[in-house]
Amino acid sequence: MTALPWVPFMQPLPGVQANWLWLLPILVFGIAMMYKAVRVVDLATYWREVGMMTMQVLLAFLGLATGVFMIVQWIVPLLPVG
Amino acid sequence: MSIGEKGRGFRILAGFLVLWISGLLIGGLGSVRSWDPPYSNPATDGKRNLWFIAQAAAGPIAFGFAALDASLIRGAEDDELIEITMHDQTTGTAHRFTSIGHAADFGTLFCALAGLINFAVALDAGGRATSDRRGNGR
Repeated sequence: MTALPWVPFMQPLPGVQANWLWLLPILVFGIAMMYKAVRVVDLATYWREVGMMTMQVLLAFLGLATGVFMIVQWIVPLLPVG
Repeated sequence: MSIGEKGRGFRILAGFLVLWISGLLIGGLGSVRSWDPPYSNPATDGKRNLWFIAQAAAGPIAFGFAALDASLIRGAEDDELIEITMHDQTTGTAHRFTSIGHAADFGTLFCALAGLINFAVALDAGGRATSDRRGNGR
């Protein structure tokens, strides 16, 4: 019998260690789906609200990452040593 | 018990399944584990996995997958185990399919968030009268 390269639900997903950042949109999308299902007033706008929340959270992450990058790369090196 | 919002319920279920199934796909069965958290040595530690408290809020599905993990991964035969060096330099064994690193972290996180939000949804559904649902300041 030939061994399968990946057995879903049994083995961990290959390549996650190097590409973990791509899991973030899936995580945020799932959270937005549950959150907006409770919060929206009109279910007709559900998917638009889910998409908007997903984009907002991802943009917030991007903004935070940019801010931390600037602090670490540009501001911290300007601080006096010792 | 129903509060008459089936459309909302199916969307909540869909979101839950996105998180839960993604978590299991990413981290494998070890994502839902009641004992022996990742990076612990079962031979020396044998302690409760605190992430499972959040995952348990998902309901019977969490206990079902934890039981599967206990029988297929943690309770596997010796020929399925490999010897590994733990972070504290002790020698232990782990199933050859045990997830480590980001796969273990994200798999656990996805399922824990699914459970936590499920708990919040249950509180929301039980906390207000049907006539008070959506629209009044929400």
